[in-house]
Amino acid sequence: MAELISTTTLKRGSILTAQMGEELGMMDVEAGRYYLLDDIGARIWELLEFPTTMKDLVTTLMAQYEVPEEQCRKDLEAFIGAMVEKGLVVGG
Amino acid sequence: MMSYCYRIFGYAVASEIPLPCFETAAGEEDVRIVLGDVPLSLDAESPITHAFQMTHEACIFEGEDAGRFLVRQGREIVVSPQPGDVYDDLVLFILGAGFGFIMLQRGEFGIHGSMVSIDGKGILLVGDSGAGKSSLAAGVVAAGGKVVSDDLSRLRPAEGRFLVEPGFPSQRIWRHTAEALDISLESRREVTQGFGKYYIDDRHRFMDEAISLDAVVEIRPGPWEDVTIQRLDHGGALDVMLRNTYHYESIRFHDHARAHFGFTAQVASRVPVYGLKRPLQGFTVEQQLEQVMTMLAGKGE
Repeated sequence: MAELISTTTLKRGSILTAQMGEELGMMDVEAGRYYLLDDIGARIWELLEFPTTMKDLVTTLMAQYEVPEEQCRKDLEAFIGAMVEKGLVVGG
Repeated sequence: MMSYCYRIFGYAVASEIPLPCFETAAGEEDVRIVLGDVPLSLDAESPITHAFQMTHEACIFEGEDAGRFLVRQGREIVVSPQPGDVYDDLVLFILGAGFGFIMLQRGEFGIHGSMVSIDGKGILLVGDSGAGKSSLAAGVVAAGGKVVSDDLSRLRPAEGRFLVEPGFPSQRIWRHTAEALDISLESRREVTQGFGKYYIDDRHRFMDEAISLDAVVEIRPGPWEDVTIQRLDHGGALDVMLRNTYHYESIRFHDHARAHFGFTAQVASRVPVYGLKRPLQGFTVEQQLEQVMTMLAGKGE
């Protein structure tokens, strides 16, 4: 799957983030919604600043978090899917 | 002519109208309250939400059966009273929505909640209307504590902690709460429109200094058998703080959304936030206070 994923350019500007310990608080001001990402979610958000692919994300996360590829891909797809649904991420 | 000077929510206030607030010497002026005309609409194209017109630096709202108000630039509240015996309601709107909008316009942090001090702990009580904030605050006073602010509280950061500024020495308490706590209602004024609340303004019940915020407690009435309290995780804490932010819906119309969110997240990650469940029936203020104090003493869960 070579399709590029990244955070939507417009959204990134209007999304406020604030570190809360290891977690990342996030507010989508326009939509009036807020979220809390755990440390892995926060790391993914960081990695999505520039367009990337699912393959590259899986590789990076596996290296950083020592998680089996199958599990990593599955969890990542679910996470990206949810972010796309909320309009925070495009592609994927 | 500014005859009256007060300290309200940490601001030096000069007012043309006398207010039931902590008096101070004339001098600096952060906020002024004047009588005057309030235009029907703001000049700019301003979004209208509920009963307000709002831009990032001005807000016009109407206080039912009291008058119309213009709050601007975080520095001025213009009051245009309706004819009639409207003083009590004017005060309610000035000290509530009026200062709430002052805080929003100044990029400062208003929370809808009662701040109390007991046994050296500063506790902010939040919750929906009717959740029981004023009753629990009254219970705190009955147990020897004091009220710092009744309904709106101003939080500010200071040297690695968070301070809550005093509001004004007046509480509005339900008749049944007063009766349960042995507060005499003789010659007390009733809050207009027969809500069943009374003004309690004995000075000794109130603190006139800012205190540190040690905990936030959200009161959650529901079909529970008992009073229970639980520490919330970061997500739960952030949710409580955002939901109880003064006029949350209006943050987006002001320039301070980023700073506000950052501040709120800081408070939620550094100050313990608790959910306090209380049964819908019965008067359980004493049990609620006991649960809170036990938890804060570290003996709880």
